[in-house]
Amino acid sequence: MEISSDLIIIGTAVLVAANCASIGVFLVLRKMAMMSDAISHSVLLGIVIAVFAVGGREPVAVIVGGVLSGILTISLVELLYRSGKLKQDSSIGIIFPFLFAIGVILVTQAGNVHIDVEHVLYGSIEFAPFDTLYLDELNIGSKSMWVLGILAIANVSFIVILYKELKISTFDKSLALGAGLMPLLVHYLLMIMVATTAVVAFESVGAILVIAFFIVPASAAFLLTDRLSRMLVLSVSLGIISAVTGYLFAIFADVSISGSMATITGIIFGLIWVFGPNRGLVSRWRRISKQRFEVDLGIVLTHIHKELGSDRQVSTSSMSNSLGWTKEYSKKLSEFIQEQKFVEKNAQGNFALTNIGLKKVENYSN
Amino acid sequence: MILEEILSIFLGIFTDYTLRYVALGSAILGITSGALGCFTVLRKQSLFGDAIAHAALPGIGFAYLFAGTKDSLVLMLGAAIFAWFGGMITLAITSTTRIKQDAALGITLSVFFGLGIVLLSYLQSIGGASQGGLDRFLFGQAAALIESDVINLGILSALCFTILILFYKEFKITTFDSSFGQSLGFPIKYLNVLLTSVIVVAVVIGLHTVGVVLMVSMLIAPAAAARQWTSNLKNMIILSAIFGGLSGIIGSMISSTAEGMSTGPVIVITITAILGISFVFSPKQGYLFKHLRNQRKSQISLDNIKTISDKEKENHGNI
Repeated sequence: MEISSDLIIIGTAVLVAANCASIGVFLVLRKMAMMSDAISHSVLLGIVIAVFAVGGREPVAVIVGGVLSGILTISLVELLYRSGKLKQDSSIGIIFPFLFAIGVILVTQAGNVHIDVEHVLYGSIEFAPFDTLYLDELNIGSKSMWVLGILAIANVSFIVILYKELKISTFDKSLALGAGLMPLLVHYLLMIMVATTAVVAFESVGAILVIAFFIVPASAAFLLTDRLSRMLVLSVSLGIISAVTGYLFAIFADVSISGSMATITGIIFGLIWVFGPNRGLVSRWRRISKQRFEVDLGIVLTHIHKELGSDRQVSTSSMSNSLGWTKEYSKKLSEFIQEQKFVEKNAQGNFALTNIGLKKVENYSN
Repeated sequence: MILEEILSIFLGIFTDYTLRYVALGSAILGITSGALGCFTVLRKQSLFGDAIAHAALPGIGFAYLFAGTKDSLVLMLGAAIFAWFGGMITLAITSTTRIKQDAALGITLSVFFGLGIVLLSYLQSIGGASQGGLDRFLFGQAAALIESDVINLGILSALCFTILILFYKEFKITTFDSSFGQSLGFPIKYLNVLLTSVIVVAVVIGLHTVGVVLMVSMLIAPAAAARQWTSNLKNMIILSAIFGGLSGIIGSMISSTAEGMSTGPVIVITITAILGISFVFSPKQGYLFKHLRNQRKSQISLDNIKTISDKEKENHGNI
C-alpha cells in the first residue's frame, strides 16, 4: 500500500483537525477551553513516564500514560479549586506548568527518550509518513493515520450516542440533573475523550496545534450558527479547511507545518469575526448605522413639522445648527428626504413637507 | 559531601562571574512577576498572563527579522508590542462577540504562538544557524544572560516598580471594587490599560529566564503562595516578590549545575514547591495548623465530656 507522503501528512492533519474540532465544540460551549491548554501540555509527563516504563514508544503505553496524566491534571485542578484556596483559572495556571516542567526536565536529562523538547510544542507531523505500522511484517500504512482513524470513530460514536446527554448538560445542567441524564458522568466521559484526543493528536502535531484545533474552529463556528448540530459540522469543516490550507502554505513558504496550520485557523477566525453574516463586525456596524439613520430620519421630519407649525423656516444649515449634526451628515439626510419626496425645497432653500412626508410624521406620532 | 556541593554552588554567586548574572537576572524576573502577579490573581485574570506570554513569540521573530539584531532590548520591544496586541485582541473578542474569556484566551495563545513558530522556522530556513538562540525564548535560558541584558532587565523592572508605587492606591481600588473607584472619579479604563501594560513588561522580562510556555506560573504561583500567609495587599505583594526572587535564584543555580538544562522548568518547579509548603505550613489557612487546631478542639471537647461524666459519677455516688 503506497500512498504519497504529502497525502499522509494532509490526511493526518485532517484527522487531527476533525477529532479536535468536534470535541472542541463542547469545550467552547462549556467554558472549559483552557482545560485543553492544560491537558495538552501535561500529557507530556505521562508520555515520558510511559516511555521510561516500557523502554520504548509503544503506542498503547504512550496513550495510556498520556490519558492518565490528563486525568491527573483534571483531578488536581478540581481538587485545588474545590479546596477553596484558589480560583479555577489560577489552579489551571499552576498545575499544568508544574507537570509540564517536570516532563521537560525528564526529557532533557534522560538521553534515551527519543522526544525532542521543541517537537513537544510544535510537533513533527513532517515525519508522519516515515512512521509506518506493520502487521505480521506486512506494511499496512502510516501509524498516525490508523490511530487517528480509530480515534475518529470513537469520537463520532461518543458524540452520536451521547448527543442528547451532551446537549442538555451543556446548555442546562439542572435540567440534565433533573431528567436523570447524569451530567457529572457526561462531564468526566467528555474529559476522558479530551485527554485521549489530546494525547493522540499531541503525538502527531504538538501541544500548540492541538489547542488551536480544539478552540479556534469551534469558536468561529459559534459565531456562525445557533444550532449545536450545525456548529459541529461547521467546526469540523473549518478545521479541515485550515489543515489543508495551512499545509499548502507551509510547503509554499518553506515554514513549520503545524505553526502554519495554527495561523490559518486564526486567519479564518478573524475573517468570520469581521465579515461574518449577522454577527460579524462589519454587518453589525452596518446594522447599527442603518438603525441610527432611520431614527435620525424620524427626528428630522418631526423637527421640520414642528418648526413649520410654529412658523419658523428650516434649511440644511439650520438643521445642522439646531440638531447638532455635522454639515456633511445634515446634507446627506436632507438630500435623502428630498429624494424620497418627503419634503420639497422652495426658492429660498427652505423645506416644506409634502403629503408623503406629512403622512410619515403622523405615523411617528401615532 | 552533598552539603559541600550545595555550599560551593551558593558561593558561586560571589565568585563565578556568569553565575552572578544568571542568578541576578532570574531574581529580577521573580521579584517583578511576583509583585505584579498579585494583581492578575486577585483580578481573576490568571490565564491572561499565559495568553500574552505566548503572544510575545512572534514579536521576537519580527524584531529579529526587521532589526537583524539579537540585542535583548530590541527583541524585548518586539515581544512587548505583540504581547500587548495579543492582550487587546483577547479583550476585543470578548467585548464584541459572544465568545467567553477562556476561548478568547485560547484563540490568542494558540494562533499567536503558531505565527511565532512560522516566523522562527522561516528565519531558520533563510538564515541557517543565525536563528539559533531565538528558540531559547521557548523555555528560557538564563545561562545566556550577559551583563548588558541584566542591566536592561533591571531598568525595566525599576520602571514597573515605579509605576506600581505611584499608582498603588489606584490599582488597589480597580482590583477590589472598580465600580466604587469609578464613582470616586478614577479613570478606571486607563488604569486597566496601564496595569495590563506593566504586566506585559513583567512577562517580557520573564521571556529570558523562564520562556513563553511557563511564564504563567511565575505570575500565579508566588502570588498564590503569598496569599496563604497574609490578607493584606501590601504584605502580599512584598511576600510574593520575595518568593518569586528566591525561586529565581534557587532555580537558576540548580539548572546551572546540569548541562543543557533549561532554567524555566527548574524555576517553575521551585516556585510550585514553595506554594506547596505554603499550603501546608501557613499558620492561618495551612493544612498542618488546621489539623492541629481541629485536634486540639476535639481534645478540649473530649476533656469537657470527661469532666462532666466524672461529676455525674460523683453525684451518683453520693446518691
